[in-house]
Amino acid sequence: MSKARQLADLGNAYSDGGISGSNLIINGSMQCFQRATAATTMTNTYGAVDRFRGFSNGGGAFTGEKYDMTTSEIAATGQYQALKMLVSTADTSIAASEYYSLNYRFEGDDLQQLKYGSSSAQSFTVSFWVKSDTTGTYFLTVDKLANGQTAYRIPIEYTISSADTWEQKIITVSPTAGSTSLITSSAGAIGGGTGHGLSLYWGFAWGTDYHGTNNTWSTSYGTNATANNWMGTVGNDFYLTGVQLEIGDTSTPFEHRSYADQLQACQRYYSQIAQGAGVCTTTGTNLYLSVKLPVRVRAVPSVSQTGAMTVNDGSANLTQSSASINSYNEGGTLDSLFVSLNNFSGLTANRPVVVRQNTGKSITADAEL
Amino acid sequence: MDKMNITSAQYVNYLGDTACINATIDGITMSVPFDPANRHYSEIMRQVEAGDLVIQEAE
Repeated sequence: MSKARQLADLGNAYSDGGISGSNLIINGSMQCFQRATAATTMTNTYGAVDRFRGFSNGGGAFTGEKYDMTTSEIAATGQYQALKMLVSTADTSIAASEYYSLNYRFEGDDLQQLKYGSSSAQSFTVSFWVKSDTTGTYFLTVDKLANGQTAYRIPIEYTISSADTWEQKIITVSPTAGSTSLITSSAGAIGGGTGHGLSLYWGFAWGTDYHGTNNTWSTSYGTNATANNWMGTVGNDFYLTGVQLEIGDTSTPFEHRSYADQLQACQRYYSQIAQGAGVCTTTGTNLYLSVKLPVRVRAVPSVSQTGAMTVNDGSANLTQSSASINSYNEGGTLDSLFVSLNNFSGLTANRPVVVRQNTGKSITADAEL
Repeated sequence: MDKMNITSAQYVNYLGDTACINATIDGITMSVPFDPANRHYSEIMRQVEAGDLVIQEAE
């Protein structure tokens, strides 16, 4: 095969989205909804979908849920799922200190190739598919966190032109946007290590305390011009999928990954475990359990339960009277959990137990940013 | 800007040592490890230092 033929084949693979590793967003295709698929509050917290969270401060509220694309929507976007968000409590008057947004958080180490904090700082390009019944001007904000330096932000406006119609938006973020040198100065470096280094916000409303200038680096999150108050009416919707962030000033076709790959990437930040094995203690009311986590997690996770769980000790099934769990992660391991499940009665002392398959009831491990 | 709603927090002992903090955060009861990289732990400590939260002693 000639070199020319190989280059042509490579070009075709590129055009078809076959070049892997370019997308720095995890779950941009909205494939993973570990917490829930039905409508779940996202008001200033993680909700149904993995890696994307609500970031808000105010009296309004919104939910997120899994949305299955129709055949024609798949044909238009190349995506089979999306995050569907709905306003559940309206906020018609945004106070100066209030804000509402969808937030994606990066570990600082994952973005060092941007070379922020130096004259070699790189541009990056964010692309995404969006659909809403509320047309108008929105903005995407990039937030470079301080982490011992200075926090800098840049809001960049985009327009949703047609109601209830999928539109792809492509936004390139220059390190010197607005003819600034904040990002190329030493204070512009991305820190945080495996902690929170940089954020993206899809803004729904930002109070005047946070208003800055479109496409200009400063310390402000939002803009003041024509941005919509998407939070103004109950039932307003906002759909998002196909989110990609890549180094450089060019948007390339979406990098599709398998569900298995995406799930593993998400489990660095959050996972649910429904089965395990352990041993009863002498009290008869609690048992100790060691659980291998699916992947090495970002930080020692917080643990909780999604409901009371059932165990079997070889002679009987026993169920917690209510969910109760303690974490004893000695040594700060990132690969496993050591927990006690509490609130049992009738456990036989020192007898081994297995945690049964508990449909819809799991131990959760949360190491999110 | 990232304040969590923490309505309770209590130390938990294991084999005589303090092992974790059980807390209710944004309506979810969870067991939080002593890891500064854990966002729940760092927020608990931030609120304690700000005088907004007191962690109850272990039972």
